[in-house]
Formats: sequence, structure tokens, C-alpha cells
Amino acid sequence: MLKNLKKLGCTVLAAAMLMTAMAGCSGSSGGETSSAASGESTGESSAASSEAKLSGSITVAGWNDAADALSEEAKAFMKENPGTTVTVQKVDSNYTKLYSQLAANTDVPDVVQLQNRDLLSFKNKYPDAWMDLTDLVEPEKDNFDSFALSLVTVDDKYYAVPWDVGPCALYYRKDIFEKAGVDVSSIKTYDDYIEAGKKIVKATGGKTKMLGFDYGGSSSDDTTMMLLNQLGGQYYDESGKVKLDSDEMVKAMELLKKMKDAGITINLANEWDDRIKATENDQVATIPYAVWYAGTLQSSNADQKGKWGIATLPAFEDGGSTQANLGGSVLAVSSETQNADLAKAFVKFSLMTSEGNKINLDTGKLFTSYKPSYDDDEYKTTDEYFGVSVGTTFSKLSSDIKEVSFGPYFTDVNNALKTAVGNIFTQDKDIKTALSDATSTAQKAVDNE
Amino acid sequence: MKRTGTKIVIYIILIIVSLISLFPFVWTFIAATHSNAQIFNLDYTFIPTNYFTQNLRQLRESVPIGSNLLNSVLITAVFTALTLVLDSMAGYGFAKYKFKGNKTLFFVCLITMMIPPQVTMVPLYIQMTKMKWVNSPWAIILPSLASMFGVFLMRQSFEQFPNDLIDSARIDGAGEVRTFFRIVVPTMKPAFASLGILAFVQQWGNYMWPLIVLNKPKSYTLPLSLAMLVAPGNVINYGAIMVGAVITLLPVLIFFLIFQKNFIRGMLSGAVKG
Amino acid sequence: MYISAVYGTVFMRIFPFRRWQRLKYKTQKRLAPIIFIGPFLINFLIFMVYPILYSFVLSFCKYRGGHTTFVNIKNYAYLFTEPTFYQSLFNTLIIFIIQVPIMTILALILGNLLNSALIKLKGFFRMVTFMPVLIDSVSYTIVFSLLFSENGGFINNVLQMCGGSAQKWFSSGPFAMAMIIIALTWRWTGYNSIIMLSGLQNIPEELYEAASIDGANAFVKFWKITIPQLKPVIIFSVFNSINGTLQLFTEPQLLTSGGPANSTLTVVLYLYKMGFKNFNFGVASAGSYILAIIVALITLLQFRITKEE
Repeated sequence: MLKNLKKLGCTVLAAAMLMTAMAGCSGSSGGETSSAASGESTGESSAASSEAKLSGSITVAGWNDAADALSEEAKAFMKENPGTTVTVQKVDSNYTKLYSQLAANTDVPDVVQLQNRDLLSFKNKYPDAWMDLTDLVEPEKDNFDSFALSLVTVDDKYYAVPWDVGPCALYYRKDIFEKAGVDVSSIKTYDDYIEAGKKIVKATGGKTKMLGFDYGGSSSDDTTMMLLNQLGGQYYDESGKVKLDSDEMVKAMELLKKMKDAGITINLANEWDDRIKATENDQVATIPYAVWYAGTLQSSNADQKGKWGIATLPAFEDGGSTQANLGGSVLAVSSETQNADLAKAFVKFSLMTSEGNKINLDTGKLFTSYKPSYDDDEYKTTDEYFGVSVGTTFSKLSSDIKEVSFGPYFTDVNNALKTAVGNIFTQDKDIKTALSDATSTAQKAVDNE
Repeated sequence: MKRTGTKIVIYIILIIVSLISLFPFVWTFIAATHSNAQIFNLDYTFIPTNYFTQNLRQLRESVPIGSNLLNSVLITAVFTALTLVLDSMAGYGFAKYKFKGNKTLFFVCLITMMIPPQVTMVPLYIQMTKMKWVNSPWAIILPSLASMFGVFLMRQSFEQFPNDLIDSARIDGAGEVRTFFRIVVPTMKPAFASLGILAFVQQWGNYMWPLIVLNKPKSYTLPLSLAMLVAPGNVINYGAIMVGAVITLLPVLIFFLIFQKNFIRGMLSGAVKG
Repeated sequence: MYISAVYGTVFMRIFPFRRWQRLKYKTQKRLAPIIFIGPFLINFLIFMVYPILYSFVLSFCKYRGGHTTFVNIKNYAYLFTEPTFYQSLFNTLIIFIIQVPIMTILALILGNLLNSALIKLKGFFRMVTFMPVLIDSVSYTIVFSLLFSENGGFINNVLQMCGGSAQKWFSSGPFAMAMIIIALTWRWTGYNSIIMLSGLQNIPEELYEAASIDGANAFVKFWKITIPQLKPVIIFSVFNSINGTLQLFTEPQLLTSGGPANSTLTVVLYLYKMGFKNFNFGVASAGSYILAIIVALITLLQFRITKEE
């Protein structure tokens, strides 16, 4: 009996081992782009190397075009530092996986891309998960855009390196504007924008709308956040309490509502995917969005090369601000990393050198917050897709961006705001009521953290 | 005359139902041969084109689809096999042995069937992280095996098995375990088939728990890998995603088409007897 | 597919239990339940009972970075004053009030048609009807999201071709709900109709023959014989479907992410977001216990109904 049990145990164990082995060695392609250890020497170099020489391997996670840029940077970095391996993982920008990696404290990539607005949330929810990068940032702190830097600062320490900022502009379809007889330079205010939109809708028989956004809010409320920033609005009042029904927020919502009522908008239910779809099908004539979207346009709507122009955002009223910031990201280093030196060196290379920022702009259309790079040639060369220099255009649009504080638990606040967007645009709920409801929901969620 | 009329109506309804049932499958296969732009196109056509290989290449570039397929196959196979073994044994134990507390134990276990699985979602996750089982196939297999559903089903079936047969086997000196595997199991084919099918289909499409407990692209199962491809912030390529859907669909479909008679028969005879 | 026979033989080959077989008959019989139930029970205790208890403890705690602190009933209090939670419960209720009856009736009709003596190709029709349940929930959800796309999706094109107008499947709450209900119905009707069919085949033919002699028409036969005879099967199917609806997750998560404005947010999706997006394990556990109590109440109600009749 006992012997049989033992046997049984052995078989189960053997099966388990077989299982693990098979799961481990399976498959070859995909998922993790650009790994392949660089150079000839792996492993050995660490013993022989001097202190400065880097070795080992790290994993870096980023999304979309940023991940593409990181892959390019990884290649360049590995060439300069033989014996190192930098693997880039493509992940989604909603952190679907990062959340559980952090909670489980397993498989957290060594270097992680985060939206700049979320860094504080992550720092608060996972206080020990992030490495203090002060020694990396401090010597060059004046070189960073002060707004970008403020978002990574906690108690005078820096927990991430600012990557890009997201100055916004109006991407517009030159060919459609021309056909409808609309001159983009005549659009000074959002009222002009709505009028132009009506013309375009009419000229295309209703096929092409002016603007697309997610009416339901569940996939994204980017447009709202952009307009709010343009107005200089905040998410909190002076005492730090959530305030989503500020005058600026109401004004932003009213504008969107006005556009929707004028019939110049289209719903992008799953905003990111549907925007690409609608763009491909000529259903939107303009995309008021951040500089980093230029990269997505280029890669996802490649066949529309030459059809897109970049103009400044319309103002809310004559002479009002035409600048806004939306998004932007940072690179943080996990405190669990086995290879802190390498991780830091890679971050420095990617974000704080001309070479890295050249790739950032080239591959990812990511507009660095590292000011010395603005003087690089790369920021002045004309882009083929848009026919203008993306760097120069957007550097003019980032001179007067208003700072905004995202607070310690922005995810909670943003969830409430997204619900409010849905209530306003799909349930016809009164703007003020929807926003004040959202305020109390958000405050409650924050208090419960 | 009236009979022919009824007949025609029944046929028409069944044909419509069949078309509705089949349409999404057909569409998936056609879309897998289309480029992303063609799928997005408003004037969509149902004529297959030749983008399949390109889509497949792009899919392989973006996810380790080979590993994902292997993970899915392994997890589903091991799970189904273990379900059949453990649940049939437990079901038999509950059905055919009178021991103290049998009814109570069974009833208490049965109550867990009424507790929504989400109750265990968070603690199981914490358990998995502590056991360092995140990313492990066992993190999917073992918790799914704890469901009482199969035991319940098997107990129902075994109760109908005549006690005389078991007793006569005992008199022949066959021993309890031997009796079960040699005498009882071979007559329970339909019950095994239906439980096997249900376990297979359920685990193959399992999404929520893998989403929580698998973190590395290489350890994803197929459905999880597909779902990650449509997550926002990715460059969406529906052509490639549809190829992924075909890869997910094909094994089940082939399996089903080969064994479809037994599938349905198993479902019909074994599944439910009140 | 001689699964069971093969499995029986193979199992005995691997584990011959020789010594065990020599044990005394009485000892064997006493130990047998442990041998048979034990393996399942151990796994069951580790991965079902323990988490259920742990979850109960967690629902009174705050869990952050591996540390739990007792917070009394704060998590429950939070949920009971949280409109979103109520809304998710309400949405789930709506889905099962509308979807389960529609699907059950359709499955009942379809099961009868598939059982009809009048048709040929039964095997084919049964197979095709059964197929939707084979597709995994993620693939079919992605396919449905493309088919229902608001901007030029297949469904809207068909509607327009038939003279209707394009519908806002994603940006209107009721339509988003309708889309999810349609998707669920597409996937599960066939499966349930096969279950109904299994019940229909067990109804003795004599009952119908006797009724025919009494001059009952098809409708009366259906109402007086089929339905009462089928009752246990129908209850099983309804019970299964309610259970499934309460656990609805993939469809709303991938189709609408609970939108627009939370109008398709199901309880499970809410709990998932609470647990694995906000990492509020305590609140998620408390929510799951509230859900468990609701399920228990529904089950009790159901037992009562079955008993009374």
C-alpha cells in the first residue's frame, strides 16, 4: 500500500516536471521583440570587466510606438555595450498585466513605462516597488521640462525619469478640407471649428465627421482631459479634495456636447481601435490629439501619407490659449531588479542622450521632455508623412502649457470622470449633475484607498 | 397535406437557425484571409483573399502563438484527464458507499457549487503568489479541479448503476478499486463522454482566471493571448487576430467534427437526469 | 471514443493495487471511500474551502503590499453606499431576467424541432446547433465586436439593407445591453436545446399515443405532456443559465468594458475591476460575499418553487 502510494507520488511528480519542462521550452517566435544577446561575449565579460563595464540582462516593458522606440534603443545600446541583453516586451497601456505582476511581485519588468499621470498612483499603491532614481535625475534636473519633472517627484526624490510630454495639435485631412473648401487657418476658435465641421459633413454627404471620441467614456476620456488642460482646469480644489465639476470642466463638456449636437462627431466606442478604423475609412477629418499620436497615424494609417497636416488647436474664445498637454510617459525602474546599474544606464541612454531621443522622435514620435535634445537636427528635419518638421511644430506648441496635478490616486478620479462622460453623452444626463455625482464617487473611492 | 406544410416550416426554421449558428464561424475563417484594411473597409466583401500567410506572419511577430497553443493544449488535456479520474472516483465514492456522514459531506461540498467562483478569486490569487505559482499551468489546472460540478454529475450517473453487479464482482473477489475500474467504469461511457466534453470546452475557453494568474506572454493560453492583442494602446491588426481566432477554433472544431456523434450522444444520454 | 474503457484499463495498468487487493474485504470496504473521495477532497480543501474562508476574512480587511489590516465592516459599508455596485447588480439582474427566459423558450422550441419525427438530417442539424458553444468566449466576443461595429459593421449594414437604420450598439446603454444578450443567446441556445432534447427523448411515447386517442391536438400535447415531463430538465437548464449569467465577464469586458456609463457593467466585472485594477482586495472580497448571499437567496427561492409544485 505504502509502496504504491509512493509510486503514485513519483508519477505525479514526474508528470508535473514533464509539464513544466514542456511549457518552458515551447515556441520560438514573437512576443518579445529584439532580444538576441548582442555581440559575441555573454556571461564571461562580467568577471573580467572593470567596474564601469555593464553586463547581464534586463527586460523593458512599453506600449505601442514607445515599445518600438525602446526596441531600436535596445539594439543601439547593446551594440555600444557588448555583453548586455535588453529585451523589450510590448504591453498594453491600461497596465492589464502590470497590475497583477506588481501585486504578485513576480515578473515585474526591470524597466517599466508608465503614463506620467499614473506614476504617483503607482508609487502610492506600491510604495516599495520603485527604485529611487534621484542620483540619475538630480545632476540634470534643469534639463527637464519642469512640468514633466513635477510628475515624478515625491518628497524631493525622483522615482522615474520623464520621457515624453504630449503637446497637442489639430491633425487634419488636407485633402478633405480642400474638397469641402475649408481653409484650416480660418479656424481660430471652436466655434469656427464647428462651422467648418458642418461644411465638411455637408460636402461629404455625412460620411466624414469632424471629430471622433468615445461617447460612453469607458474606453477613454482623452478628449475631455485635453480640453480641460487647455482651459487650465484641475481635478482637485485648493484643499486637495476631488473637484470634477469645476467651471473649466463644465465648459469643456459643454463644448463637446455642442459639437455632438451639431452633428459633427462620430462615436468611437472602443476609442483607440475605432479611431484607427474611422481614420482608415475617411470618417474623421480632424484628430485633435497629442504629438505621440503622429507615430500611430504613421504606422496604423500608413497609406494616408501626405494627406495629413498639423495645425494649432482652436481656442475657446478669441485670443484664448491654443495649447494643451495630453499624456506623456516616464520610465521607472523596479526595485526588484537584479541589474540596477544596467537598468539605469539603459534609461539614461534612452531618455537623456541625443541618440536615444533621435530614436524616440524617429520611431515613436515621442516628444522628449529633455530639453537639450530640442537643438538636435533631428528635431528640425522635415517628416515625410506630414510634410513638416514634427519636432519644430510641436516645440512651438509647448511653450505655454498649464501644469496640472493628478494627485495620488488618479485612476479612481479618472474612473469617475469616464462614467460622467458616458452619462452626459449617452444618457443625456445634465452636465453639472453628472459631474457632481462623479466628484462624490471619486472622493469616496480616494478616501477608501 | 398538413404534414408536408409542417415539415417545410420546420425545415425552414432549422435552416435559418443553422445559418445563424454557422455565420460567425464562416466569417472568422474568411476574415482571416483579409488584410486589416479590408476588414475595416465599410464596403466589406465576403470573398476570401490571400492575406492569410501575411496575417499569420504578423501574428507570430506579435505574440508567441506557438507557446500559447501548446499551453492551451497541455492545460486542457491534463485538466480533462484529471477531471475524469478524480470526479468519477469521488462520484462513485459518494454514490456507492454508506459511511458515516456521507450525505452531510456531499451536501456541504455541494453548497460550494452555489457560491460564485468570484468569492475565491482574490484569495486564490494571493495563494498562488505565495506558492510562486503565478505563470504555472498548475495554477490554472488545480483550482479548476476543485469544482463539485463533475462529482455531482458522476454521482448521479453512478447511482443508476445496479448494486447487484458490484456485489457479484465482490463475491468473485475483485476488490473495490478493481471493481470500479474494470466493471463499473466501462459501462459508464456516456457519462464520461459528456463530462469530458464539458471539461474540455470549459477549460479551452477559460479566460478570466488565466487573465489574472498568467503574467508572461509565453505562458498565456490562446484566448488570453488573443484578448491581449485587442487591448488598447496596441497597433490593432484584425487580420492577424482573426488568424489567431482560427488557430484557437480549429482544434476544437476538428475534435468535434471527428467525434460529433459521440459528443451529442454523450450530451443526450449522460448529461442530465434531473 | 471508448474513453472510459480505455481509461479503466490504463489506470489499472499504471496502479495495479496488488497489495491492496489482498486486503480483507471488510477493511477494503471501510477504506474505499477514503481512496475514492480522498484525492478530490484534498484538492477541494486546498483550492476551494480554504480560499472561501480566507475570502471571508479578507472582506473585513484592507490588503496592501502583502499586509492585511482589520478594518471592521468598512468594505461592506463602502459597497452599500456605492451606486456603481448597485448598478452592476441591477445590470446583471436585467440580463438574466431578459436573457434566460428568451433563451429557454428558444431552446425548448428548437429542442422539439430537433426531436421531430418529420425531418431527416437530424444529426447534421443537431451538430450545427451545438457548435456555437464550442467557440471560446474570447474569439467569439472579438468576432461579435467586429460584426456589431457601429461604423459600418455587418449587422448595421444588414439592418440598413432591410430598410432599418443603423443602431448604436456601443454608445447607447440599452443597445449595448441588447448586443450582449444577443451574443449570449447565440452562444448558449443550441447547447440548451440539446439538453432539452435529452429530456424529450426520455418521455415515453405511450403518453403521446394515449393523448392522441383522447383526441388531443399538438398544442395540448405539448402543454399537458411535454412541459410537465420536461420540468426537471428545464429547471436544470434555467439554473445553469442563471449561474452563467451571474458570472458574466468576458462579453462585457471585451465588448463594452462595462460601458457606456457603466450600463453593461456586471457584478463580476465590477469585482474584477475592484480587485485587479484598483487592487482593493478587501472590497472585492466583501462584494463577492454579497453576491454569494444573493445567489443563496435565489437558490432557496428556487427550491421552494420546485417543492411547492
